[in-house]
Amino acid sequence: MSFSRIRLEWLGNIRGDLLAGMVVALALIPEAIAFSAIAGVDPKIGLYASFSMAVVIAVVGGRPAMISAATGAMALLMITLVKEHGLQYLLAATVLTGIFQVLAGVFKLGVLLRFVSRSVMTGFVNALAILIFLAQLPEFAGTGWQMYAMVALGLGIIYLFPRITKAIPSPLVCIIALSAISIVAGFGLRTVGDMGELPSQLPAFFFPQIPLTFETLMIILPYSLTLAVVGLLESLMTASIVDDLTDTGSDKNRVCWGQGAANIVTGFLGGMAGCAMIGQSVINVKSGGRGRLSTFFAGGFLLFLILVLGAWVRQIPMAALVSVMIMVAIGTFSWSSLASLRTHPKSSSLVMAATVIVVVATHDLAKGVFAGVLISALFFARKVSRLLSVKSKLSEEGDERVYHVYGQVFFASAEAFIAAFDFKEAIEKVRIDLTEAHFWDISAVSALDKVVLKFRREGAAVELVGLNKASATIIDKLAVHDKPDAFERVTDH
Amino acid sequence: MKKILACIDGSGFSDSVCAHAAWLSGRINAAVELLNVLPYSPERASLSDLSGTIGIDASSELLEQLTQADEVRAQLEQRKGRLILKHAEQRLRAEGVLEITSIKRRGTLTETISELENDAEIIVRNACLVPSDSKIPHSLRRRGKLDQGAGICYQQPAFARDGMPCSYRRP
Repeated sequence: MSFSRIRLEWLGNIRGDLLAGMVVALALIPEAIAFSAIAGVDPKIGLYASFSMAVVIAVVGGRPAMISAATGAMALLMITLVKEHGLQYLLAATVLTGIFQVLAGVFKLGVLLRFVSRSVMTGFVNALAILIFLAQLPEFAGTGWQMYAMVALGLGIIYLFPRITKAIPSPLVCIIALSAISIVAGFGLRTVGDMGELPSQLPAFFFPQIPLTFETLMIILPYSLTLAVVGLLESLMTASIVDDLTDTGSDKNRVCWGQGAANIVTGFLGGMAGCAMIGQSVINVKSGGRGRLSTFFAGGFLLFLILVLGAWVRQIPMAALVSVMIMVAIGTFSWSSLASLRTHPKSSSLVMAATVIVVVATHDLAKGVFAGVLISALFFARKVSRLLSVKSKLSEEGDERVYHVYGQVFFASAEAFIAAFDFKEAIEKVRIDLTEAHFWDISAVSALDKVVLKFRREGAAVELVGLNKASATIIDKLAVHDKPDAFERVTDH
Repeated sequence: MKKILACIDGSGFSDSVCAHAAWLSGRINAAVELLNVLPYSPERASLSDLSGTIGIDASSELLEQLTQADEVRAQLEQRKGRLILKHAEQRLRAEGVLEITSIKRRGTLTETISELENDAEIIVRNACLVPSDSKIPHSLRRRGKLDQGAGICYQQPAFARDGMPCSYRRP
């Protein structure tokens, strides 16, 4: 990477980046506190995480202007770990998560995202939005009308204040207004101070206090693996959203290892694992953030605000945070996907819905994406399996039948392939012309074997034509790059 | 046929670049390809909304807004580029150049030239076209491409004959 490129990424948009970073920092504070609450740790853990992750990702991340911090998707995965084993194990798991993500980047697993279809991605963001929303509901438990009124007022401010001016972040106005009401009226609502310890100093580098044993590894390993997968999925997805918004590209493998590096540093600084945030990154771009400086400043400004204004932050009622989080949930959800449920193909809608359902049921985005990818792959296989037809013609002498096979023969269409031959016909010679067929896998080959054997048992002599050409597709790697005609060979006959 | 790549941006320098290209074209019997590079600066934000809110379908709505803003600007730039090229073509034709092609590309001049330089015998550009690309003369010289820092006013293209150090043909 050239020096001028680096300069451009950091200093190409200073004013916009600083302003956007400020807006993002203001929105990150409530999120970090809320996600700490989900994970069951002190707000300090989420705030340190958001600070260090934003700062580190700004330097090493693969996608300028993308915001990484403590996230709900990750917080939901660590609840039981924190409950059963405590904070130190979470920090160790965070470091291990980072190591896995670095490895994913080194081994270039970022490209695997292309197997995640559009419908699965939509399902992912919808499920994420639903989870963020659901995570707010416990805040209402055991509260009176005051809580509902405050949240309603907060949402009103957030959505209506921009009509007055867009120069001041409305979530900030919401937080200040609700804090003022809460302090003056004294509803006795829960405040941020009730959630646990806030940072009082800069984070310090320390090693998680855990026994370095095999048992420890076995405890954190499953959590770290899931965290790593979910973190990468959301980060890669966010990166491609930011790519689209800013009309630029990003290095997806660097996104992976950058996120890993950020998690490693964060774990050692006493923060919880996190990843890129879709909502915050959209806010950043919307506010005019384009460069690395925006992410860096968001993290730095966040910690500055907390350290300087800690006493005030303590007074913020949870109602204000809930309002902000509901806004994030609404902004993250893809509402247009509901409208397109009717217009999109049923298979796509089903994949989207399945992803959402599995995530909401398991609170694990990785499982949902896995289910979605699996179902969409099956649907695809089924669709392609229909691209097969077998036509036959009896020779003029009436002693030979020629079968012409057109299209795709693979595991999903092998049955149909066998069924297309007429074994009852008593005929002496059978010629199977495979020149126009593609044999994709071993299932296809064994289906053909079966057909040949069956014909032989009926007493027919079988001649295969064009088998070499048809089976050229079996090889796993088509060397399209070094053999310019390879692609034509496979597709054009 | 040999090709001369003439980079023009519609500023006062473009006339001089055209004149040099026309003269060279006659000398080495080469076609002239006019290049106009439209600016591309995605690192700079076109919109800024500090409200900090995201509403329904926030990201697709934002994408639409940003696309619209870029669309309007890009269309204007395209129109400008077309005029610049047309003007330069007329000028070259008047100077007797027969083979003229013109291309519009988006990006930075440095990148665009490095994409196109292999097809060109000689590149005529003005170092002052894009001030931020101050390194380009060096890189071009290293590659043995011709580079000329013509003055603001049009001069008889005598540079290749009087052996100015930064002006020579590729060996």
